[in-house]
Formats: sequence, C-alpha cells, structure tokens
Amino acid sequence: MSNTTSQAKNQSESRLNVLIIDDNEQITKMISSFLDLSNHDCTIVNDGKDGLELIKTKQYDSIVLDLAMPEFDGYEILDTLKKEDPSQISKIIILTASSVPLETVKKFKELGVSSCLQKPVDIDQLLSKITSVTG
Amino acid sequence: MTMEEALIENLVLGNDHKESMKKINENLVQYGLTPNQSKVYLYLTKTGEKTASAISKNLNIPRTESYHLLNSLEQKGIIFSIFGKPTKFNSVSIDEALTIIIDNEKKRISDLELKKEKILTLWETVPKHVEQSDNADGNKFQILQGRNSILVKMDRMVKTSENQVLVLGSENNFIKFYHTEFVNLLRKTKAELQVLTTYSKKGKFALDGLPLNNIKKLDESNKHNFSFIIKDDAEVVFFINSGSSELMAIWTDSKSFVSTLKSLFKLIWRKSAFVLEKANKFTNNMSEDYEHRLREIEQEKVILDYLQQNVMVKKVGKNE
Repeated sequence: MSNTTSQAKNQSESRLNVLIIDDNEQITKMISSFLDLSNHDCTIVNDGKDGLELIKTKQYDSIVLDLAMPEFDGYEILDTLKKEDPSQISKIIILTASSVPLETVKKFKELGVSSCLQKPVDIDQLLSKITSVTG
Repeated sequence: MTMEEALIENLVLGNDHKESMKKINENLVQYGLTPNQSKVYLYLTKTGEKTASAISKNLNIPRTESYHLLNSLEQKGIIFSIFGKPTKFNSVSIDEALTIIIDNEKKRISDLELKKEKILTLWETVPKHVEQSDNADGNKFQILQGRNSILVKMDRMVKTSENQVLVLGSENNFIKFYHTEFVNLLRKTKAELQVLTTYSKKGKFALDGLPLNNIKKLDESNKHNFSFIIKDDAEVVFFINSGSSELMAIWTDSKSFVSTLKSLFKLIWRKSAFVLEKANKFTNNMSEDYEHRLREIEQEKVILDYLQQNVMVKKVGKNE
C-alpha cells in the first residue's frame, strides 16, 4: 500500500459523523463549520423532536446535545433514549448554556452520557470530547 | 381447605393459571355475581356439565346452598340444566355470559328511568306537610365513595355550572376519569374553565381537547396534596386520600368551604404558568435568562475566533 493511499485511508477512518442538536442556529452553524474544517461530517438540527428522530433513524459517531430547547428539550431526548435506545446515550456530549447542578451532572454520568460541558467551551476541548466518544 | 382453594385444585389448573382465575373471579363479582355464584359458574365453564352433588362436593359447598346457587345462575341465564337423572348443569361461554349480564343491567336501568317519571307524577299527588327550609342550601355534606358516585356528582356539577368551573388535580386523577363523560363535559362547558394540573408528556393525553389557554401547570410542591373541583361559588367536590384503592371524595355546598377552596385555587392559579408558556420556561427567570444568553454569546465568540484563525491559517497556507 502506498503512503498516499494509507494516509487517505487513515483520514477516512477518523472522519466522524456528528449530529448537533441545538436551538441556537448561530451555534449549530459555527460548530458545523469548525467540524468541517477538522474534516468531520456534520448534521445540524435546531429542534429536539427532529434530533431524536435522526438519532433513532441514522447512525452517528457522536451527538452534541443542547439541554434548553423549546417544545422538546435535551432532558426529554435523554429520557426517551433511556427507554427506547439506551445504547445511543454514550455518544452524547451535552453542551449547554444553562446552569446544571452537580447532582444533575452526576445523573447524566450515571445514565451514560459521555460528557457534560457548559458554554462557553474551548473548541479544542469540544473537539477532543467529540473524538473521544468513538475512541 | 377454603372453597377458593378447592375450586382451583379441582379445576385441574397449573399454578400459572391460579392468579388469572382469582382475577376473573374478582371481576365477575363486579358484574353482580356473588363470590360463590362466580365460583360455581367458573367451575362449570372450565369442567363442563356436572351434577349438583358433584359441584357441591368438588367446590366444598353445602348441598342446599349449591342448589340455591345453581338456581340463581340459571335465572340469570348464564347456566342451564340438562334433563336426565340426575339433572346435570352446564354454563354458557364466558363471552356470552358477560353479554347477558350487561344486557340485563341495561334493561334494569332503562326500567328504572321509566319508573322515575311515574314516581314523580305520583309524588305530585301527595300533599306536602313539610315546608322546605330557607336554609336548606349551603350546609350540606355528602361522602362519595367509589369512582362512579364521584363521577356522577362531578358530571352534574359541570353540566349545571353557569359561571365558572375550577379544577385542581394531578394528571393521575384525570387519567382515572379518562374516557368518561366528565372530560367531555369540561370540553363543552359554556362556563369559564380553569384547570390546574401537572402537565407531563406522559399524562397530557388525559386532557386532550381541553383548551390549553385554560390550563396552568401545577408545580411539584402541590401536585400530591389535594384535588378538587369547584362549581360557580356554590359547590365543591374534594378528594380524600383514604389510603385504600377505592376513590373517596366529599361534596359540599358549604359557602365557607367553597370560598376557602376557591381562594386557595386562585392563589395557586396566580403563581402558576400556563402550559402554553412551556416554550418560554427558560425566560421566566430574568437573571438566569441573562446568564444563559451571555454564555451563548461567549460560545459564539469562541467559535468565531477559532474559525477566523483557522481560515486565515488555511488561506496563508494556500498562498504560500
């Protein structure tokens, strides 16, 4: 195998398929852009129900989830996944601007959530959490 | 050995069916059969035709009582006798038996409705010796036991309400009355309706069709404490936690009672948010909302800085 082919293969293997669920359109677009710069594929949704539907129907390597969303929030998504598809919870990185009490963070961990980050978060840290989900 | 044990043992059933048979037995009692009638009927249904003496022996029921039981079940139309010596008995299928019992009940109620008019007409012909007291209204209490008697009273309150119907109760209480006329009457009432309830994703189906503009969300601290319904300024039904599985409530037209509960309702109503405000639940607390928005903006800035730097790096890289 040539060097070039090997490099291309490695790049393709590390290319992640990430889902971003956040009602803040600005943030979803920006995260999408930096993931694109980092050679990852990204799907964005600004509504909790659409996000849950995608989790159920498509395969993602990592899911970045906001908690505070109108109509169907991140808590409801977690609650539904806990009952219907708990294996997806370990792919979730919570990224929220809300104040999350320590007790709730512990509960997220017990549930199997990969990480719980409060905005604003450093991009390298977020990227490292996203890649570590699959790692 | 109790009669029930004898029944189960003699039905030649496996252990797996004991619970089911017990439950069927309990349910048949709700259909108006006595526990022993239910046992005899189930015994015949499971084992087929039997003589009275075999039934008496196998179910451990005294011979004379078994004849009474068979006679009453025959009159209900759910078992029949087969001519011969000795006479044997058999039952109709359980499906048919339930239909027969329900039809008999329907006919009984229809007869009672017909008789109501006759009794009232006759009553009008009877001279009255007692004058109605001016204070008859306003201090009556009535204990309502069981879901049906509570429902009848609440239905009547909603139907006759002219100004206002106030309902406070958890979704669990609404679920108990789901598929009944009560929720339907609330939907149709011309009176002003205000409902205070827990409004979760799981239980909100029980409130389907009620105008959301009239429903406020009962907060966690109040959700288990009390449930009541107030009609106008005149009547109230409030539920009692009796500790038993049977629902219990008290109806009263006591003015002081109605007024106290109405004040309580209004107080909680003022403090509560409409269920439609859920979309804005994160904006209720101004300070929290401000911090929330600030963090969002800071996050946007962090990402923007990152993007600017990296796009610059890429451009510079390309130019070189």
